[in-house]
Amino acid sequence: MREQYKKAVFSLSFTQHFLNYIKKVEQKQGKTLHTNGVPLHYVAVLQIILILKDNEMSTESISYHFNNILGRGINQSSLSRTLTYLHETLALINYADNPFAEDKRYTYVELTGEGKKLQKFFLGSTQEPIPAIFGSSKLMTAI
Amino acid sequence: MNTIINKTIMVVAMVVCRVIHKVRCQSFLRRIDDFSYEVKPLKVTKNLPFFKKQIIVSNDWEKSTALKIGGICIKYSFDKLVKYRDVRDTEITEPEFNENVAIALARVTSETHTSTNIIKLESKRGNNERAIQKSSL
Repeated sequence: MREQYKKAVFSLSFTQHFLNYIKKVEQKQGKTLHTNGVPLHYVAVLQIILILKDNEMSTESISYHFNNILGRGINQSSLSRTLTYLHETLALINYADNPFAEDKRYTYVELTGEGKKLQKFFLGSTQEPIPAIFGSSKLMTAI
Repeated sequence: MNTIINKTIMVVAMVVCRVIHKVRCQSFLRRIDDFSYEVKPLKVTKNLPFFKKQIIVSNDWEKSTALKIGGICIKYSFDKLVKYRDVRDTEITEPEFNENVAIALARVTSETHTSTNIIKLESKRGNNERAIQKSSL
């Protein structure tokens, strides 16, 4: 496979693993989480977190990079709701936020084990073989 | 007892925020989604007052505020975006341009202009009449 197409493969692999993970959570909880598909900002916020350094994970930093990378702002309450979803429902991150506490230990964002697994797929640092589907003759990735 | 109070505050806050969102963003009057909110319980509330308001972010595109009532945190944000009604998709014509320039100039003039005091000489004549200077010639 050409090197330039590997980025697309990694991106699609990440999406596939993310959707599979949501399916597992749905089966575990016995209910459908997204009847109309996963909202884009859930995926976008997670992707921003996955490329942030561990000591840079804060709501201000996520909001700043979301705006700079994607060209659209995300307000704090929307971001907080998204992070709560990623924490409480999917358990991909650990998130605590207390805007009134002076001690910054009460405000943090960090990846969980499952989140770190998805990070490897997103960054392309996994050793897993490329799925056979990408070798289909109708795809550009087959070349 | 605290749990019941917190749950009551949470329900009331969620109802109020939902009503504001419905009226502001989804009513027939105005369909612009520029308000979002989140209501959640706070885990650590030691040494904090019962009611506290804090502005989290206030920049060019949003103003976010956090309210603490009891053990509940209410976060709400207003987007400061240009509304679609305000966006103009046609170029400004010359008469409109000139008219706007004239309005802007008139506004600047009226703001910077200060009117001078006008003294009515007729009323002053009696009290402070200046002596007629006689010529030395």
